[in-house]
Amino acid sequence: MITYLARRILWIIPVLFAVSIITFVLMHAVPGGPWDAEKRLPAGVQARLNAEYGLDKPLYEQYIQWAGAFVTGDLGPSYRSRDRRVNDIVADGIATTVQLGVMAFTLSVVVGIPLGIFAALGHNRWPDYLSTSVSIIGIATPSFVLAILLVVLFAVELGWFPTGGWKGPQYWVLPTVALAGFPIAVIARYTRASMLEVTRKDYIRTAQSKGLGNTSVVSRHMIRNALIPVVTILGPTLAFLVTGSFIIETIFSVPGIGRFYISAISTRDYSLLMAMTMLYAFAIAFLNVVVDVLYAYIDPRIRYS
Amino acid sequence: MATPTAVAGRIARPRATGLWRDAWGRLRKNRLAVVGLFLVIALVFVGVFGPWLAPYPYSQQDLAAVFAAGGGPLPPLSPGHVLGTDQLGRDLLSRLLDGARISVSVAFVVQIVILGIGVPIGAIAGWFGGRLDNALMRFTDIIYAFPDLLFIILMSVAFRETVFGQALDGLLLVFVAIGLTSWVTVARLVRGQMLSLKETEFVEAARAIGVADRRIVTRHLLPNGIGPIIVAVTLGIPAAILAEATLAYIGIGVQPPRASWGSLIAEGQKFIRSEPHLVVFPAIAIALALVGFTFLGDGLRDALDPKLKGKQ
Amino acid sequence: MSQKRLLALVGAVAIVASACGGTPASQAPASQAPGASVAPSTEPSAELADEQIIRWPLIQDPATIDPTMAQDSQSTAVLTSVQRGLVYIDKDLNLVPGLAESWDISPDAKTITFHLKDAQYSNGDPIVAADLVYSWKRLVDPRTAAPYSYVMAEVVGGQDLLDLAGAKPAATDAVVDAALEKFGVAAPDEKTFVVTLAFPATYFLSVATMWVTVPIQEKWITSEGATETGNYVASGPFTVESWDHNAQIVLKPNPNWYGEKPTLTEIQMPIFAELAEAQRAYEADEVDSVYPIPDEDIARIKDDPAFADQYSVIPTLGIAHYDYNNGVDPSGEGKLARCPDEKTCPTVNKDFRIALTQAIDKQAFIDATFSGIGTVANSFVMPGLPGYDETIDPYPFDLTAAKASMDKALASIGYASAADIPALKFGFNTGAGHEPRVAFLAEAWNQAFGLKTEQIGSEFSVFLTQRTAGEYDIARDAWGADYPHANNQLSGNFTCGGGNNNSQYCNPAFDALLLEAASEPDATKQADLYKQAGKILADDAADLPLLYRDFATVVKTWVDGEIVTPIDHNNPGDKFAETIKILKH
Repeated sequence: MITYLARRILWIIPVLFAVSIITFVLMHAVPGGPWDAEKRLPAGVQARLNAEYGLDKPLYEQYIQWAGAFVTGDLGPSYRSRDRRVNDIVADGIATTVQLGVMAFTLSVVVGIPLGIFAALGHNRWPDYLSTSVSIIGIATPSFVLAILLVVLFAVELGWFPTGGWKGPQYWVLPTVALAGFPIAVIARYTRASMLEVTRKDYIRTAQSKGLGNTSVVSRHMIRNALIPVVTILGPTLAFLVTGSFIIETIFSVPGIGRFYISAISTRDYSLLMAMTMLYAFAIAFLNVVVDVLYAYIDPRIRYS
Repeated sequence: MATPTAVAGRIARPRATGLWRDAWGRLRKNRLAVVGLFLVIALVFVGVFGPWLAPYPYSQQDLAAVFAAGGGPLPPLSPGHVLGTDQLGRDLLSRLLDGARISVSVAFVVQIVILGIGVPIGAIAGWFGGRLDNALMRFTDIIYAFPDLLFIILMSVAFRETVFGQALDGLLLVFVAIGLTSWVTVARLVRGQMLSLKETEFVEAARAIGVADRRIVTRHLLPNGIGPIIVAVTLGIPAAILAEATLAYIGIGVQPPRASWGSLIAEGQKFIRSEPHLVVFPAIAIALALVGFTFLGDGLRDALDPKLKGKQ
Repeated sequence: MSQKRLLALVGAVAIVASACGGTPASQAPASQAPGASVAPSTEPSAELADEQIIRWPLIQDPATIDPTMAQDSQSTAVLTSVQRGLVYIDKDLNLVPGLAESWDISPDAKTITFHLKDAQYSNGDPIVAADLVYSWKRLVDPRTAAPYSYVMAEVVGGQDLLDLAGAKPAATDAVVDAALEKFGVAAPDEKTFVVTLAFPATYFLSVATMWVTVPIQEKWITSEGATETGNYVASGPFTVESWDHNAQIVLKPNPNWYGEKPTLTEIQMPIFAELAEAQRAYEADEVDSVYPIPDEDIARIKDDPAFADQYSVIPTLGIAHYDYNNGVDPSGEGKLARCPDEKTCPTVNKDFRIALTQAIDKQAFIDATFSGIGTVANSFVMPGLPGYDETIDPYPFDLTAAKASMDKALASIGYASAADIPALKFGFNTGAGHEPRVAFLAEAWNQAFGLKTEQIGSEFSVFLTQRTAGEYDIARDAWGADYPHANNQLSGNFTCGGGNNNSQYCNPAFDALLLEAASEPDATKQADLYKQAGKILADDAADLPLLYRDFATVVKTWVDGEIVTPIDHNNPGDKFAETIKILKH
């Protein structure tokens, strides 16, 4: 198990390497550059800046330069904010983005899993319909529509919460709910489907026939087994929440790093974009390992060697 | 006198057709599933025949009517425009009907790409295990770790001005980009099902009597694991439609003057406080499509599970 | 609104008039506030609020608040309150003394001598002429690669330094230092700053108002984290108290400010991710003003009685226009490779461009796609700039004339009908509200001629790259004046091979007029030359001017004295914070 874990974690390194190369090439294949503006910079200034940032060198040299700095922990200078380092930009916002992601994840799990179990236990009866309706709303409303609705209703019209910012708990509520709407629905649906699958398994019937009480059966066998497929989507869900908050961060002006994920592309802030990619790729790859380990823990039939 | 194989064939055949007939029977009894089926059929119908149903071409402007009404979008139930218009007097109903085509094609094309890549890779990895599993799973790790939206956006921007990028009003590029980044979840799910199922009694029994691997996988494991796959695809369709909407929100996707439901919402949500119809109707259209696919997928899931037989 | 427009013009002409007067600018207040929007002020006796804090939204984290390096509007929005130039534009758009007490202009108008006030930075050090020499040299130094270095082109030796920036191989330090030695700025003593110009100083005082020309202390700007919280050194009425990146910037009064102590005790600048959000925050009473308000909110707000005492419209020194591809290579010489003949690129044909222009009802365009905000534009030089000529309108909206022009063009190009022309490439950037505008124009041409267009919406940077390369036949474009002068307006945009020549236009007669105008010391004659140049552009239908932009703003009723002028379009933020008072509410 330990060697398996070590191998999986070490494997993240080549994964990051592959992701960095693909991103680097694709990023530079995109037309335009960091100095683009409606009013064009004088050609001389552009040339000078290109030289300063090494953009006049061949691509492979630029990559080697980037990778060399990256392994020493230097993420490079920002192209947009010329007197800031990407390390500072990331350090400023990462805690906020992780906090928002984890809060939304917690909300999704705390609401989504019970909602799914509730639906399965009341299969084809009102709890099922209620739960289905809730998750339909979650699935059927794009997060930016949900976010706009929330902010217009609860911030502008009712004034219960601020429209944006991140200065205290009252600022956290709307972004968290807006971000969690979709994953709540997804988790509830997976849980429900998985629960129904398990109810039909022989060992549940065996347990029931042996006279085990319904509650005991439910908790000990069904939920544990039903959670196996659910766990497979929890990793992606957490990754989605931590890395997918860019629209929510934009609509609520959350000072995280999520919104740079898109803005770094449009401003061609190459070093920031690479940093974001590496960070997100690492987060996803690492969570993937965590899920696999959890998987083995929950389902003893799966053994890693 | 029938030979043993013939007998087996005769027994097997009615059983197979019976499975689907029973499934259909169960589906019909499930009211939500019937609603879902109806919505999906309606969506596909509108997607195919939309241009003939639309009162106007989707790009036709009616500025005279807009100015006559004092400027600004016409509200719903205006003469000639049941759902109202945008600020140029373009009929919202006509634009929604055209958008249905885009949503239908997003739904199906992306899922085909996802299933086409995800199911074989997941099944092969899960069944054969060992090095092959390892290699395939490490490959999926790379795709999986790749921030998908970044990939889609970079692809869309990098190849926008090429022939490929302009194909199907700019949609082909987006479909392929979404598909290429979305199959990993299905692959992992299928592999997980394989891992759980391949040590069950019926698989061991099949192996014991010498059934070929491929046959076990395609005839036994995949059908038994189809529930979660259908759930994944069902949720994958809304996910693809939402992905397209998200891209439209940040300005990537279908080429104007065409508009997908996603880009109509993205444009309309700016006016949510003054012209709510511009966002409400596209949002309802998307919601109906999503509800339809979800109900249908749910119903199919319940109906297709053979072990459910006789329980109701 | 048109009255405001006219007044704005008067105001800006006053700038130039005083710029050439050779005497210290008049401090006498103009009779009226030209084009400026004064925040609705209640009775003068109104009681002040206990907290004198104003909240102004910023849209995205400013890229830098290093004055030399700043270029975007959010950076200047902060800079205008914390830095002050030698010359200042007051709320009536007069040039008035800033850090300079007065200035003398030599008879040939090529030497300006500034006499500095006794003023101090926020850190207590005196503001000396040597800091201006340092600051201006830093701006023009190719090693700095400052975006706005080009405003130094008129200073003696400035153009040479600008040319060094793009030199291949890169200029050595010795070469650059030698060129800097020859740069026409000097500090004969602590309080005297002399600028020597290569051209007559018809508009250079306007340049001396810009944020890039403020004095900078070398020991401050070269220190670690100079622009971060706690380190800022300000020469203006306020200084930077804190900068919480992407969240908020807080300004406090500069304790050493030479002028009157501001009433405001704090300026809070919460940083939003997008404009729409700042508008929502305003309506939830979280910020005190929004400028400009988002296009999509204008229609809702302008007719809402609840906003009647908060809403106003301000003319800008900005134009929205569309480029026609005139078919000249971006280098300024020879044909664009993709346009070998008029059959491939019909917009190269002048009559074709005239026909397209005549087919557009500009007022309807403004009403349908700009919520009716803005004024019809027929020439590229806008009202408020010397050289603006309101009589220019060679091709007014006239469908009959348009069809005639089109027939003439088709005959010359060799098409039987406009419908036979392969779809014209019509480029714009997505996600910025341009789609309906492009659709309006495309439909108008389709209705008038049966002409087909392929609307190509691209991501901003991709769009800019394609537009520069001349890949589109028609492209969206916009321009805002850096300083109110026709030179800034015309030279880079339409001269052969000009840096912003997105219309791929080249006319030697036009270039010659601009050259002549640049060295004309008499302001009236110069304006006349610019008028002639502007007329050539319009007659050639080089581009499609559509509207001079107006911006709408909302200001809370309890804010007294917040003023936005047309200059703020491109250099926003100077809302005269030192005169603002917060009334009890």
